[in-house]
Amino acid sequence: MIVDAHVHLMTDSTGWYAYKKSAGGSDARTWDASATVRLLDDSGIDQCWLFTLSGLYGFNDCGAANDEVIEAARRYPDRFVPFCTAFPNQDPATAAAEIRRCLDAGCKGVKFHPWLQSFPANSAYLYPSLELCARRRIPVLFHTGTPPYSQPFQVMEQARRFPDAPFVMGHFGKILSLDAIRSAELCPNVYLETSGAQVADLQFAAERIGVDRILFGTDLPIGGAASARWNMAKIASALPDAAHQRAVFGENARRLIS
Amino acid sequence: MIFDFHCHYSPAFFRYREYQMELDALVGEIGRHGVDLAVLGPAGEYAAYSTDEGNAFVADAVRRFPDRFIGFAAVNPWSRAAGIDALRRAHGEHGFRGLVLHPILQGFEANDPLVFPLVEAALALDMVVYVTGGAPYLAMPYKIADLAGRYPEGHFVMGHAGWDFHFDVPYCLEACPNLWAETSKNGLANLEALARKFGPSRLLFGSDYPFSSYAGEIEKIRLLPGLDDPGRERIFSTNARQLLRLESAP
Repeated sequence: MIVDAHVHLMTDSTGWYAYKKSAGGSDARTWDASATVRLLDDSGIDQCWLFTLSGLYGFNDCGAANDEVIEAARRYPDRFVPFCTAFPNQDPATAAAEIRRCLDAGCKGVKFHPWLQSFPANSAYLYPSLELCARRRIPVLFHTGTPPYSQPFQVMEQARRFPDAPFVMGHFGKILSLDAIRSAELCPNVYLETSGAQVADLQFAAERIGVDRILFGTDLPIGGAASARWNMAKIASALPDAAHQRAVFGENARRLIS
Repeated sequence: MIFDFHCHYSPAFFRYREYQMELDALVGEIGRHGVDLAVLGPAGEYAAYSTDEGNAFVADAVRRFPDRFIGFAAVNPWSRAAGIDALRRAHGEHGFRGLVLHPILQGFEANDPLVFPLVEAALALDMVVYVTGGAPYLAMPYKIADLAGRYPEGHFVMGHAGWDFHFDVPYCLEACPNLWAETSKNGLANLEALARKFGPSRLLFGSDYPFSSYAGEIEKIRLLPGLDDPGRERIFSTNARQLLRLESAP
């Protein structure tokens, strides 16, 4: 069973998002729940962790965006594991309340994007939200890379403060992959998600921390089914062992979801 | 026909961990994946510090397999006049066609005046200047574009298509018609955005071998949407051949 730990619900029904345009793309295509399921089918992915894209922009309605994810997971419970988000830099207590609301409505994890959401990942504004996640052992996935806001060691600082929550470093730290791997080495509740990892990063991580905390991820629908195949090919090249691949492609992610 | 614009060879080197490479195995590997020609540069400490030794290993590889490899010399700009001499020797004695700059490994900002004399020496020898791109803050795309913009007659390649700073790359390529983006490491969406904006003419296929895999990097370009066969051929080979003026090659 292939589980993708990094997929966005990329609609514009709860607000505008900038990704495609800022990347120089030709359009602002959207993928609603059923289009996302088709994309998973085309990509050979059975299930994914799903979170909003538009809701990561402060000018949109984050609560409505979370609701859209929750609704998508109700329609496709086998395909989507819903994750929610919140804006801790606006009001830490309100952010924690929004996360509590979403967890009570069925969300299984939390996504933060410090760069888009404008706070350093080690910010104290996150404490009430992370305290809640630690109490319920809810995985928290951070976008990592793109300094100064999303540095792996900033996330590690939070992981040490809240050892009962699993912290997932989205994109493997990107250009800061060395720091992401080091964080996982130092901190047993740190996990690494592979979109953004290079073959050499995956090999190096497997040597340092083994494969049990490496989670396959794609960042779909960005890049489409082609990107999913490229992300799978990287893992197949770096980790030829079949048991290792089973762990990375699904078992590790499933273990984190209660 | 595949031309790999970014491949490494040093027999044994360190990059986060120890690597060993065998030249015959490398030739076998590129042959298995249908790669006809590869630009070779040194890796690890041989790109960072022991560049003369690193260039000698590459020169040896080119001498043994002249129809497979094209040498690019690594020179650390902090070596100043001695580095310029080394570059001239690499070109004159071994036929190297390019200069590889690695701001992270070599410890300089891509647009630091320190590097200008070295770049000018390379351009005077009609060498292509490849700059590993995308790391904050030394190798950010704007810095590479600033360097390329100073020498509009020169040919510059931004390694990894700017990597984590993909937002900046479309502007940089637009501002600098003499700048190409090499595709290794970067993701489909970013490369697709560049291909849509500029067509296939500004992208050069690279593998980053042995840090990435040929299978994955080649597959990635095959999967790039919105390209016809000649367009894909441009990325895989034609652009690189034109850049290095290898028209006569088969």
